[in-house]
Amino acid sequence: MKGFVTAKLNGLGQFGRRVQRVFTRPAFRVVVLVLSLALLFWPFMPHPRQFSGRFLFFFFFGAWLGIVVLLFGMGLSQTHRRKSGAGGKAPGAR
Amino acid sequence: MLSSFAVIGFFCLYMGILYTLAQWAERRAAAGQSLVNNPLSYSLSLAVYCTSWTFFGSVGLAASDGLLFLAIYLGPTLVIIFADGLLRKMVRLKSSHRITSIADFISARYEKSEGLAAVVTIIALVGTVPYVALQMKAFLATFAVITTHEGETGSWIGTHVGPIMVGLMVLFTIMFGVRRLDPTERHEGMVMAVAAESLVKLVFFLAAGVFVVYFLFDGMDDILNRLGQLPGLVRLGSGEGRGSSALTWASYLALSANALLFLPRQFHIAVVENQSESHVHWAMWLFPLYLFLINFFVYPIAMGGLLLGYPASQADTFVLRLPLDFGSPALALAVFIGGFSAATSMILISAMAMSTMISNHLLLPLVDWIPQLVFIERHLLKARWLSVALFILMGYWFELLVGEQFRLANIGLIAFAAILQLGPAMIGGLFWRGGNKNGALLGMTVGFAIWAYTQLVPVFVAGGWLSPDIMREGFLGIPLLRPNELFGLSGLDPITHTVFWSLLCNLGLYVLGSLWLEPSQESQSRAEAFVGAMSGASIYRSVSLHQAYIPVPDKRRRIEKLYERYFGPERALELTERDLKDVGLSGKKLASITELAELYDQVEKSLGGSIGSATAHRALTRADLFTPFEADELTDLYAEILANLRARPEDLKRKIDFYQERESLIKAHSEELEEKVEELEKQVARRRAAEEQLRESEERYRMAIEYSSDGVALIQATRLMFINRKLAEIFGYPRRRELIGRSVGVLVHELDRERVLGISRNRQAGLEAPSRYDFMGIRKDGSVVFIAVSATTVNYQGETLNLVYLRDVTARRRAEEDIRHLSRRLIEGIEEERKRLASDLHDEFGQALTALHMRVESLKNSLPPQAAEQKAGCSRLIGTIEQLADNVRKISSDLRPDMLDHLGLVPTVEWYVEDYKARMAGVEVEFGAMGFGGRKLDAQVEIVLYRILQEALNNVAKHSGAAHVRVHLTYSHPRVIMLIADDGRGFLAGTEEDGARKGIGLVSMRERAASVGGQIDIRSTPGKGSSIRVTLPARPAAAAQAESWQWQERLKAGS
Repeated sequence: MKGFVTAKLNGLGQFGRRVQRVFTRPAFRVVVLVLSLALLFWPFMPHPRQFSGRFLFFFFFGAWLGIVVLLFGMGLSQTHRRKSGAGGKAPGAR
Repeated sequence: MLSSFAVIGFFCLYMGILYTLAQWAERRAAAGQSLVNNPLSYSLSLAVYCTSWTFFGSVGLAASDGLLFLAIYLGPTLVIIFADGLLRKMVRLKSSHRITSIADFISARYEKSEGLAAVVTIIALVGTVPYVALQMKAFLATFAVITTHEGETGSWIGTHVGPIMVGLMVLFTIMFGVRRLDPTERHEGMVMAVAAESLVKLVFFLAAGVFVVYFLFDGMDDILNRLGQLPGLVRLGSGEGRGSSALTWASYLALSANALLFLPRQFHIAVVENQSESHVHWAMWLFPLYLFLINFFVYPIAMGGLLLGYPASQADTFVLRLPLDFGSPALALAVFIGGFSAATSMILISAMAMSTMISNHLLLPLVDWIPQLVFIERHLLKARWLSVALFILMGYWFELLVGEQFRLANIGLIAFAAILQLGPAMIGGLFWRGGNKNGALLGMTVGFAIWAYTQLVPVFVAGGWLSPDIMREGFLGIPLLRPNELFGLSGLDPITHTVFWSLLCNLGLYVLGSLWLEPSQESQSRAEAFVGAMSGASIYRSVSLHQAYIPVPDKRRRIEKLYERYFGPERALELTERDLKDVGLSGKKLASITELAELYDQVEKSLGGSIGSATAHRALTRADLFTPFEADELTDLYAEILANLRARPEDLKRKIDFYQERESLIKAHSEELEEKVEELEKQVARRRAAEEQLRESEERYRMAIEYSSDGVALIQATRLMFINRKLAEIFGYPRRRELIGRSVGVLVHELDRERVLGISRNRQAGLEAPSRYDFMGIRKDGSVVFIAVSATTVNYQGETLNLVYLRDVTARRRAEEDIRHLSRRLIEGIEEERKRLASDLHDEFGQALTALHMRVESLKNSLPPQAAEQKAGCSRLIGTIEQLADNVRKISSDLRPDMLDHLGLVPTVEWYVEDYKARMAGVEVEFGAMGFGGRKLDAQVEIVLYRILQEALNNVAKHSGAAHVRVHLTYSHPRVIMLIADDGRGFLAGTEEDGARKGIGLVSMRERAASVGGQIDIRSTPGKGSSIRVTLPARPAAAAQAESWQWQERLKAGS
């Protein structure tokens, strides 16, 4: 799977490398965190709260899924970067 | 409904399968083929986060508070955004510092403070116990649901399922994770089991969700659209109520985010059990995806249960009740197993992690303080087992205490809030260099105290342990100290209230405490190591272990100063430079920890050579060549080596002890061998000398044997194995090899062959055989030779051989025979002469005397009566003639008694004895004869016996002084035996007296006996008399004649 992902990222060329660079930046993680918090707290903001249970269910799970997708991108970017960079087996790992 | 027995059976079967799986994983790991060293296993194992709370409690929380439950899982999702900088950092620090628990981690960050580690352990213990109670409550509740029906409620298992569960959990925890002590605290088997359990609980929960949504309802829309049909349920999904509070939402997010990283079990799985940093990147999305999936049906199940008319109070068990009540007991059992998996994985990991923390940070420090407890160190594994048991029992006790009053989610949140107290110290320790031990200890202690006051006090009040007044009026009646409205803060739910105050105080005091107190250099070094763990420019331990960062000039100064104490400045400078050069640090500015260790050893050796090793060691210790930080670095280095060796400390110690012992044994053995070699060399030298002596000796003996005047032979049985030159010469063989290997019989005359061969065989067989004997040999040319043999046995090359010495005695035998013959002839001549003389005396002189007597008698008678004087003269003359005649008879008889010729031996001896008695007054002579029966012996034998008797009795009369003599004749064909015994003074054989006797009579007696082929045995004891035993052949004449003829013939042939 790693090979597949790497191949896809390589196939994206310059765009892929930029995406990868963005996704691996700590600042991007902060942005994701802030946006996620904003998103997750948004239903609490309006007053009176007019959202239905159905809406909130899909809203939260949709937002959650979005965060998971971003995490997927960040995780893969880190994995791809580490193939040619730092990291590796934890010292002392068996 | 299922029977209790069946459920417990399924439970045990399931755990058995898991255990088998774990064993398989451990075996594969031992073989270098790890099953869990992959991102999927790591991510699934992280899902130990999803416990019974997720499986059952989230549904309960959703039924009461809508989507608020999502915060418990969104918090981990948000925090894992920073997994690369947070989790991976902890993993790296764990690897470089050999960290085994969260208490160990915090302690390592803050100057390895044992006190801090103990506080963390206590917080983790107290905070985790409610979590275990949550699992217990979930298990007991679901067990009751799945087994309770008529007739089953009162079953023994049903009423004792709690203790059974506790016992099994203790057992399984020990089996899975605490079977042995492991310095790395990694347990691949348990991780495998946890990952499998995560998969099981996910699959079964999704199955339950699908069942509810698509079998009990017409899909997700159906449930969500029907929410409005039930009054009161709309608000549950609308974000109102408790779930509507943004603060509650925020506090749940914070609690869960903190819990994901810092719950002891989570830290253990995510950090301690991590095998590769790359797994973290995969877990960044795999784990949130898992959370997403397992929570997707939580809300629909909760709503579905409510829509189906179940009360919200039973919502914790909706996921189990719905399949059970709607005709799917198999699914219910699967759900039960899934929930059970969630509970057991949490308990197993938590109990294992807590046992490590309790033993390492509470028990062992206690042992250090109380020497009487030092025995515990030898039973550390058992102490951990006890810790496991106590921990699980505490959880069960807590469940009994408050299980009825609290719902699952509430209990879990209490635990989360306790663990939140570790957050500031952990996060600050990882990212703030200013954070120090004092701040961490202060913040953590106060935060924990606030947690205990705001969370535990209400629990104890609910459990009836404390008065409810404290809730209404506050501690000591102070309203500001109400547990739920501390310092007057109201309007918040209890968890948010606790989070607010505890986090505020904890964080504030951590910062203030850290800023207030000046950090030590040690603290700064550690802070740098932790904060800059991911930075290439920082002092990253795992790199620093092999990288040069220690300033050499400082060490040089310390070493010089140390040397100056003993050697003076110039010599100290010289020695220091030499040591630096020896370890390759001369001219370098920085050294690695390993190089510093080498330098330390080098200096100790150099110093030890002058002042002794013990003194050198003490001096070096005082010199502070290692800073505490460097000492820890070195310890970590050794720990890393230890871990790479995959050996536990006791294993390594055993190995070291074993090798040391083996080395000492080998050394001792080597010394022994050297001694033995030396001894052997001496023995070899001695043996060589002995062999040389033996060769010389053998040569001498060989020469002696070769040139011996006697023939020498080695005989095996009857075969000649060796002969010397002389033997060949005796028997007329020019070459010895003609005889080697042949039977000794070829050398023996046929007359003696069987006898000689028999003697040889008997001797070799160990039977009785004469050592000296004669035989008649035969030379190569057929002539006879007489041989005297002296034989014995010798051991030659492992065999018993006859060693015989043969001497040619032909000349001697010839001389002996001549002497014997002449002696016999002489005796015979003497006897003949005596006989003739006696006969002449008797016949001629006796007749003349008789005639003279008659004439004198006639003359007397012719004288006239008046010639009385002439008659008297005739009478005197007649008397003289008669006396003369008696003397003649006596002399004649002495020379040769007539009786012997006419009457035989016995009457003659009897007569002689009587005559002897008459002559020897006072000597009693006893005579006896037997076996004769009128038999007449050979004349020679008779005369020999008679002469010996005469000589013997004469000796008795002359020398013995005996009073009693016994003479006894016995005829025992073909021998005749005469015994003469006296009670005289006796004599010693070989003495002068004996010699005198020999000179007079004994020799004569022997010669006489020998002349007829007889023997004389003389025995005497001083004071006890003497005895002479004469044995003669009854018919010696024929034998002697034959022998004489034989000898004559042989001699003729030999000569």
